[in-house]
Amino acid sequence: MLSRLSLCRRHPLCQHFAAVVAASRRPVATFEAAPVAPLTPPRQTPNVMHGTRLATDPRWRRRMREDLYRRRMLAGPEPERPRSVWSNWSRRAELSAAAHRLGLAGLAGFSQQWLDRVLTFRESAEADGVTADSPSANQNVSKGYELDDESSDSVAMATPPTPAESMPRDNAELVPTGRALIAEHCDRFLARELPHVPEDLREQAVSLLTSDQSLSFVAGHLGLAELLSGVDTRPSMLPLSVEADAFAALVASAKLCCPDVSEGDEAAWRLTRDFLLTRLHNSDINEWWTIGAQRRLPLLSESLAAAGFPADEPLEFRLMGQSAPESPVYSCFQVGLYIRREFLSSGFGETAAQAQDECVSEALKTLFDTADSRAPMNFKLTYADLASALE
Amino acid sequence: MSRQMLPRVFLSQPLQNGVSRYTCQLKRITLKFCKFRPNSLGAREFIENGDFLEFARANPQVACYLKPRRNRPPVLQAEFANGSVQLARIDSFPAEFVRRWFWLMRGRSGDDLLPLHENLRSFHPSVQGVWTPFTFGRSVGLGDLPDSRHRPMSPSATELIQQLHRLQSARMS
Repeated sequence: MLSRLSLCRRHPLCQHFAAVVAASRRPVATFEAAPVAPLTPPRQTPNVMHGTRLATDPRWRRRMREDLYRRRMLAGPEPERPRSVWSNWSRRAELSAAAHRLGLAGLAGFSQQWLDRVLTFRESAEADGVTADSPSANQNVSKGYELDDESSDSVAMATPPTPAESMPRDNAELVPTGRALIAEHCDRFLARELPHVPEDLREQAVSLLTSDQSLSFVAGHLGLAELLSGVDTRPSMLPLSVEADAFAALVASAKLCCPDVSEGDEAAWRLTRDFLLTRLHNSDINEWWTIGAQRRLPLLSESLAAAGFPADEPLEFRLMGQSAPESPVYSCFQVGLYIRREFLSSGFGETAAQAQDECVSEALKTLFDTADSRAPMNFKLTYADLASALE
Repeated sequence: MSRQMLPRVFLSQPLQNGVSRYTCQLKRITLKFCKFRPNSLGAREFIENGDFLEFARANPQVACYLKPRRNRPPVLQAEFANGSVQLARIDSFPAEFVRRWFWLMRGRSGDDLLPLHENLRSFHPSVQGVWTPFTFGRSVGLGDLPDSRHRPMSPSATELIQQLHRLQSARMS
């Protein structure tokens, strides 16, 4: 069969076959002939006519690749693993980097060990043996990396970091403290920036800002999720509330690690202000609360009373303009609100009633000082500024 | 892919970065290289001449890793605070280029570089609000028709068509 093949001199397979043929024809030599390397024959002999199939993959390789592909599909997707199982992960380096990223590294009383415990949840603190065996647990914690005792940076600290004995073992106590602290920060900031907005609307905004969804969004953008220990850090397994708790614990720890109370307050406030409250920037503040249709007119009366008008001041709605009133499609009404013959606001809509509703909404925006044209909020406020505003 | 095929985005910063404080978004950078292949020569030089250490010292907020691996091209893997990952192929790059890629990654937000919808974006694009018929202080669409201000057309279009129809009917009969 081999003798019937047309062989070229260049292709390695041809050279191999030629060698096989030559070896088979060679008479018995006086010396040991070098044995021909065995070659697994392909399932189908490729066409060795020069220039026909040499430029492409041989057919067996395509079949092999199809088989590999089929096996890969049968094996299913890669299991989801926590980031810490990869070799480029050192908890010590990660904690140090996170401390610098969050601006905590220069704080008096702060240490890497402190941050480690702030990001530790109670489950692992109670059951170390169980989590060390489970594949989802944070691997490096079970390996027991030694953390920096003191920050190795050139930042000279006047106060030594908190000793390990006085540190909390996990963040169980820090979380409720942090949640309360964040809510207080949000409330005081909004009270200062939006002094004319009633308290119940402000509370709506604060509850949206401090919801699990909002706080976990912030924690996710700070890269806290993969640093947690004691919980399953795989993204699909991590509940929003756990991420939110991590951020809350961080804020509480910034306050508590400082021996100086005012410095601690300032550090915690900076975390809330820079990472959470800036979400208000470039967003329509009126969308952070909802005012029911029944509530609008009473709220308008209350706001007018707060602005100094007597309670029984009559509201005068005037039809300022109408266009194609009979048309169901093109009709447009414009209604204005006047008080003591003074213009307050105007709104438009397809019917006169809609226009009046819009007009009331616009009047509320004017009275709350939340119109589109208001100046941006001041995100450079210090905690001392907030405190002085209260007094 | 062409500009028409790529998705478009609005220019944005993760977590309003820079509104009150700037936070470096690069949180982890890994240099993967081979210890003996010539296409990793620049990556090795970058490590040996101290540029890597200099980068790590200057950026304590970034966790820096080296990952030697045999017979694979050198790659720069940058992970950002919001979880996005960017890879840079630095195959056969000189050390200076590797150094520049490191510092480039440090300044990035981590978002993919995609065509922008607009170069400038405003959340309140109109200072006068939504247009209504009353925006410029006058009502429209209130007049009676036919308006005497309009030039009368004689013969009108209807009359013209009727005239043509009569002409055609006369021809056909």
